[in-house]
Amino acid sequence: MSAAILIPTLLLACGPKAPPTPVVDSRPFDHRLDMPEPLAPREFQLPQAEEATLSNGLRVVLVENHEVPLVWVQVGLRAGAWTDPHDQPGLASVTMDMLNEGAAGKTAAQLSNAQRKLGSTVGSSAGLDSATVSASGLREKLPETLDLMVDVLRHPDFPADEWSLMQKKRIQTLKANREDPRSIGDRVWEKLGFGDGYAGHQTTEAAYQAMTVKDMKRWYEANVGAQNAVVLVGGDTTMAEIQPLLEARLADWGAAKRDLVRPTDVDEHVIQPEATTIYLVDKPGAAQSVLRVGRFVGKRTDADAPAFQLHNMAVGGMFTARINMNLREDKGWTYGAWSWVDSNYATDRWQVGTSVMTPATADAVSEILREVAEAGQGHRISQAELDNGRGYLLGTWPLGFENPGKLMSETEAMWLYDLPDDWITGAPDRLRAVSLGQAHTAWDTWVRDQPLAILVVGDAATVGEPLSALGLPIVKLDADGHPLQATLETPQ
Amino acid sequence: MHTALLIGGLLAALPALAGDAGTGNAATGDAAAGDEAPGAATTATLDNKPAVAIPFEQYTLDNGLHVILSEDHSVPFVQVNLWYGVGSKDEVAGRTGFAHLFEHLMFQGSEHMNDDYFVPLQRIGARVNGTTNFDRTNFFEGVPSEQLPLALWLESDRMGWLLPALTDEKLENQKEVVRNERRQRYENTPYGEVWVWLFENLYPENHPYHVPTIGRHEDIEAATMEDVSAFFSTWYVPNNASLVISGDFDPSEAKTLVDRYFGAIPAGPQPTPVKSFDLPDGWLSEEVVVEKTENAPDHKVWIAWVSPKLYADGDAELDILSTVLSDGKESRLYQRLVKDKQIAKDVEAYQYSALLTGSYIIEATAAEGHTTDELVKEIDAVLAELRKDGPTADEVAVSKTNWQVGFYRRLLTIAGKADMLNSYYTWTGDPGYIGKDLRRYLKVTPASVKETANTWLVPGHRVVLHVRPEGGAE
Repeated sequence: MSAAILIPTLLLACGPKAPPTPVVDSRPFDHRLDMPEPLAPREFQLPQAEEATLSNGLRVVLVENHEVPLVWVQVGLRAGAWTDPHDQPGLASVTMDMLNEGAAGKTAAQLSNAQRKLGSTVGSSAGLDSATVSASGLREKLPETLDLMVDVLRHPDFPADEWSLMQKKRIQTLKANREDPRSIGDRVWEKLGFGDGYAGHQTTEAAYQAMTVKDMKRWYEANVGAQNAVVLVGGDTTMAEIQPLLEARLADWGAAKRDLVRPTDVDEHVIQPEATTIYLVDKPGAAQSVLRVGRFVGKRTDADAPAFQLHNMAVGGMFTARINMNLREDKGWTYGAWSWVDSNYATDRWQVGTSVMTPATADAVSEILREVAEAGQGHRISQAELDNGRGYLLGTWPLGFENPGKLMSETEAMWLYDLPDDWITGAPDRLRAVSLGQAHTAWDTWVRDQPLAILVVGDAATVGEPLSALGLPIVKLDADGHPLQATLETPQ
Repeated sequence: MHTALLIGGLLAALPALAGDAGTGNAATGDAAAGDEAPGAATTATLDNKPAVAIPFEQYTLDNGLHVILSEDHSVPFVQVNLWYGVGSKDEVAGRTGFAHLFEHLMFQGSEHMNDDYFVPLQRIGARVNGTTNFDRTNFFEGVPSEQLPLALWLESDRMGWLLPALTDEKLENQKEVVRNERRQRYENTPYGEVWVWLFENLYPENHPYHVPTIGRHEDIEAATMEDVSAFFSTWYVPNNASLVISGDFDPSEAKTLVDRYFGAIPAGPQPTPVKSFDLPDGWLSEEVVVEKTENAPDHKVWIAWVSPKLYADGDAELDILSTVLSDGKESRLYQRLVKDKQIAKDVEAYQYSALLTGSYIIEATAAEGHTTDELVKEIDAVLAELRKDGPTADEVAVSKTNWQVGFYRRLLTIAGKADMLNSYYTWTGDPGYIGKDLRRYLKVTPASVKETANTWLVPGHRVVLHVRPEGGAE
């Protein structure tokens, strides 16, 4: 892995190849009729990440950028929600949030005020796969900012009064999310994909009610430690400056009780649809229906993943892709419709997502299914469509590196998911290498003629009958994704 | 500075394409606002920071198009950012939402590229969008550097040759798209219609801000091709626009290209956007209480005052006051309502500044078992203390520090800097206004915050909007 960090400087021409025009000529306006030729491509140097190791083995990765006098520091931890005990969904997220609610003897208000006096921010949170303690601020306040970050990371107090306050807020938010159509869509879609495991292992009022600061301390001691962490730094500093500052604050940071390694059992929870089925959550009176359509596909490291990615670009991955041009620019049923691939510890999940006006719900489902089917047979994507998506991804690629953010997050992803050494540097060439035949094959492998899960969050009284007319089984769910009836409605 | 409000963008969904570029919308420039006041307190710790500045050069074409060039060679990418001096405030009666609908039509092709605007751009790796708010409409595409000619050709074609490509079919389609944008962002989102309810009460019916930019369904439906053509001829002229090119490009090449593609577009009659609006005497001299219900379980309240427009006296003071009130867990409203009394789940105060006026807003969510009346009472108690004693010197110093660092945080993307140059130029006449903008904050004192609070946040002269769960539960 360490070889990956010293990223070689690359010279890449961005955008598709086109005959360069060396200099703009000085003719007066006369070319209105012709789309202009591009200028000569400019060289792009991928910023270099630099690596060091603290004396306790903690890895530090730095992406320098001196444009503004700010520094970002992020401690990545393998401790995501996937570590939640079965009866305590939400524990990782709550614990990480609580780090910033009292640490090293300072109250939440004192911690906040100490940060704001410096103009710095310190944050802590957990997602599905990883957790983060982060800080940012002025270069000249870097030592003080790091002190505050280390307080939060290493010396949390877990004050009971702050937990009692957060507990009430979280329960209230849970209830509010249950009434928000897009939030319902997000959560139920994970339930459909993973049941009660992994991303489907979602928080409940009861779990929050039962959770105590003792649980948090136990989780923290088990999971938050140097052997489960990486430190990413970006911005206006140098390794010569930041390494001693980190060494002084983190070299004596010990190990957590558990060694967290990439979980290998997550795919046991994956529920691949066995027959194309509509799952309907009633949202009476909704002006629109929230839609998701999809299934699990391969993994992002598979040889055919770039081919699948490019095929997706043509079907729904960009504004000019088929699904958006159909549902929005032709039919006017939606403000936008997209498809994308979710990548995490599980196998990748491909999906279409949109919100459509209520009366068009069944027609929109039908059009999405038609686009998916015809991309496999009858109206395969063309070389031009493939090149459009490739041109978009290659052309926009350098833009991500105008500040340190993308290189920091991609480096963290490489560490978290054990991605290959050339994950970042090799991305453009992997896209360039995809042929049209490979794109078709990837689509055929993962989506063509395969069953799809279809989620509709909308006004059942209006959309129920037209959806039934599609002739697909319909399962009604509540806002938490639990079936409302034991048996499937079979199509007439 | 609360930019989430009222912006109708062309696109949603994909994070990379979504949203407004984050501009403040300002009043016409007050030259005095940039001067250091004698004896003004500045933050002791930050005076030696590198200046906040964005390099640029500028010139104006014969047809009135103002051009601003700003080099930044960090990546081989160039941002083209075009502002038109027209917003929803300039719509005619019965056509709310039209400025934003028109923005969508700008993406439907033009005479020499009669195809969706995204088609030639996405395939070469462009990030494209446009947004509309009360005061202005902007369009922007970031493209790989070698594609600068394409971006300028396309922008100039729709500036000069839009109408020949427009059809009834395109208009009808985009009406539906925009109505679905309204459904998605306002109707199928809890509390999405709060901005409608607030502004129809905060400003009189003939005020340009009475209806949010997205407009009303019936007005969007009523738009005709005649409206489109009149709007284009009136507002979309080079002498009502400014163009920023920012990023990795050669300025002399860019000048040649700008001249080639924009130079032939004729100037139009100089448009006259609405620049001021005097509220009637005695407006909001009595508190307006509005009760609404929402299909959501929380009890929420919004308190809104008419406030100074951006760059006017008191605007920066209200931004500083907002941080004292609700930024951080030590802030006054958080401490009182959320932490001590535990009657609120959250509370936030912010100044929304625009060209004609500002709106100062405090919003809060009641903790379960508590009422919005309790929240209003306690918010009023906190405000009364501030009107009486002002904030402390420490509070103001901390707030200024964070505003100053915030200016650096706004300089992280070339697209963001391009939009700031255009914003400063459009509202102050000076693309390089950012340094003066920061100095407005550094001049603020506890006394000036206290005075501003007493002048503008007058008890009773406001709108209080209570939103309760449907069915009157709880």
